[in-house]
Amino acid sequence: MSRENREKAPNQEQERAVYEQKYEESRKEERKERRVGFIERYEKEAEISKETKKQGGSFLEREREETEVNYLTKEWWGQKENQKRIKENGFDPENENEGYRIRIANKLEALEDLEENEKYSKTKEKINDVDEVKSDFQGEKPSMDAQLSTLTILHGRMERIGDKIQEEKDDSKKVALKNEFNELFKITKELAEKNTGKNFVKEGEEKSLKEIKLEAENDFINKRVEDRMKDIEERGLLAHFNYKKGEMGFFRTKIALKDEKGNFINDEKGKIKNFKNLEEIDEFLKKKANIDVSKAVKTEYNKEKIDKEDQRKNFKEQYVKDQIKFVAEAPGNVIKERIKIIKEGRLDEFIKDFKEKEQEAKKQPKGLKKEKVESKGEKGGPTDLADLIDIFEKIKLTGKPEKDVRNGLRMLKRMNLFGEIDDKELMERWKKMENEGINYEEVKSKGGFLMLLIKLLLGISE
Amino acid sequence: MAKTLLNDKNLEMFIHKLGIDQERKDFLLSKLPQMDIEDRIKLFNTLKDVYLLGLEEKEMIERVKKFSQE
Repeated sequence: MSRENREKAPNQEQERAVYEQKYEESRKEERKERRVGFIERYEKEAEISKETKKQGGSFLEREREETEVNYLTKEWWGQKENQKRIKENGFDPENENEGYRIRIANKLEALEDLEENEKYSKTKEKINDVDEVKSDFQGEKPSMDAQLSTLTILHGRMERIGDKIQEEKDDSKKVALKNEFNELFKITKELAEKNTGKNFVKEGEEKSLKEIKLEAENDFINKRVEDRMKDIEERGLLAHFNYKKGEMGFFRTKIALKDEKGNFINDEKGKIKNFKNLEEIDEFLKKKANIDVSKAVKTEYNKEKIDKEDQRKNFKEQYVKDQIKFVAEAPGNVIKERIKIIKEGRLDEFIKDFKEKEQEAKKQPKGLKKEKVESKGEKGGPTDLADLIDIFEKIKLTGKPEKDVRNGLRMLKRMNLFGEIDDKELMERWKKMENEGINYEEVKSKGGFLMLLIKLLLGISE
Repeated sequence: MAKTLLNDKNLEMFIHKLGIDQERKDFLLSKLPQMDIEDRIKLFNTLKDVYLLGLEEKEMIERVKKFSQE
């Protein structure tokens, strides 16, 4: 290091430190501003929330209602241009506000449903019902493309039924779905085996549907390529095949030819001609009457070119996937931020009320003792309140207040959380609470039922 | 009897489980012993909302992830 540089070094260090400090300060300021913005917005929403509560609905309910009714309804998503715009270009931050984005996130599910329904109705059009599919294989053998396409459709349908089975809570509906699944599985297996002459699932062997489909597809592709090669070779030609599975399980073949001089056959524009199928080759050769097919040189197609084309297509597909991922991730982060604000807001609301109450208590004359809460003597050790909430979230409410309360108390009794519970006394207390006017709609909202029982056990009403 | 459900220990456990920020957590934990049963019910109601919001968040993020994988 030169003398000059050595002298400069401490100065540079200082400059960097000052710069870093300034940068950190500006970041802090920026964060603070953002935070203040959030708080202001939350306060506005808290005001609306209080207003809504007066009208009998909770803050979260209002949020849900607003999202579902006023904004992105299914009809809105149903418009193709809206779906296309969101999927291709993402959101437009200049025109759409943040709440709008969140609602889009909420409505992704609706979009998904719509797409699923669309796919399903197309599937239905094609297979209509199980018998029709069966008849496809009993009559004249359909083309390989048609069979593969049907196989793919069946597979997609089965996957959706599989999802529904997992989600379905009603046992009788579950059984019906399972039967439908088994029937489709049987047909898919039959189709795959009939076409390839291969027994995909041997007796006593267990295979997943995915394995069968993959195996069947490979067989379809190999057989199809073999057939094509054979046809072309019989004509004295050798073509290069490039086949690849597409998104829906279809595959493409590319065929190119060389003439007797070893030159690639070009189309009218001078480009190497790719053929989609044998019919196209026939038509082309008819036009080019001067080509003697029998003397055509056996050769292979320019593989490099095909690879480049595929790369371009892959890139495009990846680009679209990235775009969708981007669109999906953006609302994900907004959701997190948004929920964090609501959570903190709820806690702050409690803290504020508690502090106010504390101030009031200080003004009161001494001697008014607070009700003491016993920490000892609870049966069965500490209770995990989160678990308790989870348990009560799973309870199916009948909508009949008295029945629900009785069932809830029975459940608490079984859990042995409170020792002896005098049913008669509690039901009397419930009647009293009911007469005082309990908003049962609110009870039905998340966590409300457990709160009702706790208040009941403590003999406290609103 | 029933009041023991919302005792210091159970509420403390719940507050820790929710992973709320340190400042709010410290405040609530420090004030727990002073809280009467009415305060405790209000606190539990608030903590319950925070807990359910956490579950809702997870559910929504999962949906978004599911969509992005398609």
